[in-house]
Amino acid sequence: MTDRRTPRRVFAGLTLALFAAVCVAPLAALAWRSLFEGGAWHLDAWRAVLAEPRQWTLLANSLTVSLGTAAASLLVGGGAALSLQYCPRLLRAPLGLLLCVPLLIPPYIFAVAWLDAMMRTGLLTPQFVAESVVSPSFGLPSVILISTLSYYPIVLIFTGVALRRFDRRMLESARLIADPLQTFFVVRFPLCAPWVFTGAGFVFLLTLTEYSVPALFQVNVYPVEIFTELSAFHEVGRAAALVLPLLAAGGVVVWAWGRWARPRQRWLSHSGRAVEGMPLGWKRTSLATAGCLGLAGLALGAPLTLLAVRTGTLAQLEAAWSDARQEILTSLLLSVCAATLLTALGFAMAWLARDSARTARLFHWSVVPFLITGPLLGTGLITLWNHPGPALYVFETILVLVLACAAKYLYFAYQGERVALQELHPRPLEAAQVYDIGWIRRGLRVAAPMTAPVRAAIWGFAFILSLRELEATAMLAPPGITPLSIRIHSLMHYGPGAAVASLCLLMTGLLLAAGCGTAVLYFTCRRVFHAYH
Amino acid sequence: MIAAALMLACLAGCGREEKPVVVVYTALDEMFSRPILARFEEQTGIEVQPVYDTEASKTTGLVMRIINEAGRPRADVFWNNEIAQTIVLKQKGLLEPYASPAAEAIPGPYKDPEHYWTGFAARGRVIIYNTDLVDEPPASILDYLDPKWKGRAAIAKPLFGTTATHAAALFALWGEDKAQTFFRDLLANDVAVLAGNATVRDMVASGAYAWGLTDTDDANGAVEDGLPARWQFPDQEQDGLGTLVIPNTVAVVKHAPHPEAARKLVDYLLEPDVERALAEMRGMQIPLNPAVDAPQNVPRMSEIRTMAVDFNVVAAQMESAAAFIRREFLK
Repeated sequence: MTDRRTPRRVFAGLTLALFAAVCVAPLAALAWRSLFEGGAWHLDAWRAVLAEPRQWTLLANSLTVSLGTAAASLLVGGGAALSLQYCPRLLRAPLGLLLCVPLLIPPYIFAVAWLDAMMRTGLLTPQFVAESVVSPSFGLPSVILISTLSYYPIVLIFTGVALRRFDRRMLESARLIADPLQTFFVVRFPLCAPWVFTGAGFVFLLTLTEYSVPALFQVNVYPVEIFTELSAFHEVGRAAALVLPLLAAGGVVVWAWGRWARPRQRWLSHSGRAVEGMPLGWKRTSLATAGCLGLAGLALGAPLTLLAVRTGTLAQLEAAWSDARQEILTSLLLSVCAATLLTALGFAMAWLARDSARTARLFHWSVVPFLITGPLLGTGLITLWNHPGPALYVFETILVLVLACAAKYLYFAYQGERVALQELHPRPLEAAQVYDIGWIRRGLRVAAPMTAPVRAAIWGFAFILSLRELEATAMLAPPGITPLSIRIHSLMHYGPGAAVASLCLLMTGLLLAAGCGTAVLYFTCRRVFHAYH
Repeated sequence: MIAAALMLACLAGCGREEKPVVVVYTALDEMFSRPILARFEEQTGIEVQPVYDTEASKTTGLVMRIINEAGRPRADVFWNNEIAQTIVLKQKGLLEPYASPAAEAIPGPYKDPEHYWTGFAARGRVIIYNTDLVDEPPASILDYLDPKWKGRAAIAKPLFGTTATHAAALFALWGEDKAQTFFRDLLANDVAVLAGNATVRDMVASGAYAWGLTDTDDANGAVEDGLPARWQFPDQEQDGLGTLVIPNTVAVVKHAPHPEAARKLVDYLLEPDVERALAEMRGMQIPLNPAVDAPQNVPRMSEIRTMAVDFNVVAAQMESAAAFIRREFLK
C-alpha cells in the first residue's frame, strides 16, 4: 500500500514545490522587503498609507473602472452573444470569431490608437479635438470605454458557451406557457447567469489590475498609484500597502464566484440539443447582423485602421519588422515557455486539488500574484532571484520573465483546468480505477486526454497573455532581452507615431496568428477527443 | 514538456559573456541613444547591452531598477537624460566615483565635485505655443497664473522626468511656501495636467491647448514636423527667473559587474563628438562643452539665461516636492 502511494506523494511534493517557487516565494520576498526594514519588522508605512483620506478616491476610481467595465462588458458581450444567435447561420461562425479578436489585442494598443486619433492633427481636425473630444476623453468614461472594447469578448465567450449548452427542450417547454420576454427572464437568463457573471468577474479582475489604459488616460487608480509610489518615491513598503484594497476587492469577486457561480455552472451541461435562434424575420435578423458588424467595426476595425493610417506605408511595416525581429523572437520564446509551464502546472494543481478540498483552498491563493500588480510582482522576483550563485541562471536569462508570467497568470490556468476536470464524466476514471491503474496514470492517460481541448485553449490563452504582458517584465527584463511589449512602450512617446503604430500592428498580427493557432489546436483536440470517445 | 520549455529558455541566456560587455541603463530616448551606443560598439568592440526606459516612467523606472538591484547590480553605467534622479542615486550610495579625463571641458555646475556623475548634452525647459491660437506668446512660467490663459495652458504631471526636476528646482529656488502657492494657483487657473512632455507638445500642436511647458527636444520635434508650433525659453528678461537647463548625466554604478568597460563608455559619452552628434539629432541637445561646434539652430549655452540653482539642493527637494505634487495633483 505504501509503495502505491509513493508516486502520488512525489507528484504532490513536486507540484507543491513548483507552486511555492512560482507563486509563494516572490510574495514572501516582497513581504519581507516591504515589512522588514532597518533590521526590524514594522507596519509604519502600511498604517500611514491606509490612513490617508485619498485612499477613498483611489478606491472609488478603481472600483468605478472595474465595475463599470464589467457592467459594460456584460451588456456589450452578452448582447453580442445573443445577437449572434439571430444572425444568418452562414455568418455566425465568422462573425463570432471576428468579435472575439479584440481580446487578443492588448488594451494599451487600443488606447494608443484612440489617443493618437484624438491628439494628432491630420486624423481629426484640431477644432474637433479641442472642442469635443479631448476633455471628456481624459477620464473615467474613456478608460471604461477602451477597456470594454478590449474585454467584452470574455463575456461574449462565456455567454456563448452557456447558450451552446442550453438544452432547447427547456426553452420549448417554457415557450408553451410563457411569452418570449418571460421565457428569457425566468428561464434563460437565470440558467445562463452563472456563466455570464463568470465572464464579468474575469473582466473585473483584469481591469482592477490594469495599469496602461488608466495611466494613458490619467485616471488615478491603484495600479497607477502603486507604480507612482515605486518609481517616483522608491517606496516598496507604501506600494505594497496599496495592494490591500486590490486584494480585498479581488478576493470578494473570487469568493463570490467560488460560492455562487461555479456550483451553478453545472446546471448547464452539454446536451447536444443547443438552442437555435428563433426566427425573427429579416428586419430583426438584419438588425442583429448590423449590430454585430458595427461592434466589430468599432472594437477592431477603427483602431486597426487608425494604426494602419499612422503606419503609412508597407515599407514602414517592413522596417519595423526587421528592426524588431529580435524582440519578436524574444516575445515568442517567452510566451511558449510561460504557456507551457502554466498549462502543465495548472493541470498538476487541478488534478491534485480534485481529491483534496484543503489543497484546493491553498491553490486559490494563486490569485494573489495577479492582484498585487506587475511592478510589485517584479520587485518580489528581483528580491528573490537577484543573488550570486545558481539564482543568477534565472535572473540573468529569460527564465525570470517566464516565472513572472507564470506567477501572474497561474490562477487562470489552474481554474480553467479545475473546471475542465470537474466536468469530466466520472465513469472513465472509475473504470480505470477498477482496472487498477495508478493515480498518476489515471491523470495523465485518462483525464488529461479527455480534457485536451480545454488545455489547448488554456495554452493559447496563456500564450496570448504572456505575449501582451508588460508591467512585470518591464521591471525584470535582463539587459539585451527585450520583449516586444516593452519595445512598444519605450518608443511610445518619441514622436515617430509611425514606428509605434507599425509595431502595434506587428504585435496585433502575432496575437492574431496565436489566436488562430489556438483555435486550430482547440478544434483539433476536440475532434481527436470525440474520436477517442 | 516543462523541462523542454525551460531548457529552451536557458538557451536564450547562454553564450552571452563571450565578448566584453557593458550594461547601460539609459533614460534618453532610444532613437537618440541607440546610434550613439552602436558607434561605441564599433569603436571598441565592447558589446553594449542597453536597457531603455518606458515613457510612462521616464527615468524613474530605471532608478527604481537600480535601487531594487542594489544588492547585486546588473547595470554598469547609468545614462540619465536628466540630473536630479542621478543625484538621488548618489545620495543613496549607489554610484561609484569616476573622474573621467573627458569631463575636464564640462563647466563646473554640470559635474559633481566628488566625480560621482558628469553632465553633458543638455535640454532646456521651453514654452511651446500654437501659432494659430497665440499671437503674443507667454514669456514666463508665471503666465500659468494669468486669468487670460485660464483653461488654455498645459503642463506635464510634475512627478516624473524633467517636469519633476523643474518642480523641485522651483521649490529649491523659491522655498516651499512660494512654490506650493504657485502650483496651487496653477491648478486653480485650470491648467491641464497631462501625461508627459510629449503629450503637452502634441496637445499644443493639435490646438487643444494654446501653450505649455516642455523640453527643447520635444518642442523641436513639433517644429521639424511642420506643425503649427513654435517655442521659446521662458523668463529671459534681465533679472528674470531664467530657464532650467537640465543636462544628461552619466555615472558608473557601484559594484558594476564590468567596471573597466563602464569607465570606457563614460569616457566615450563625454567626448565632444557625442555632444555634437546629439546636437545634430532631432532632439537638438545643447552641448555643454564650449568647444563643441553645434549646428546653427541649436542654442548656445552662452545665449541662454539659466535658472541659478544648485542641483544638489534640487535633488534634496525632490522628495518633498513630489509628496506635495502627489497630494495636490493626484486627488
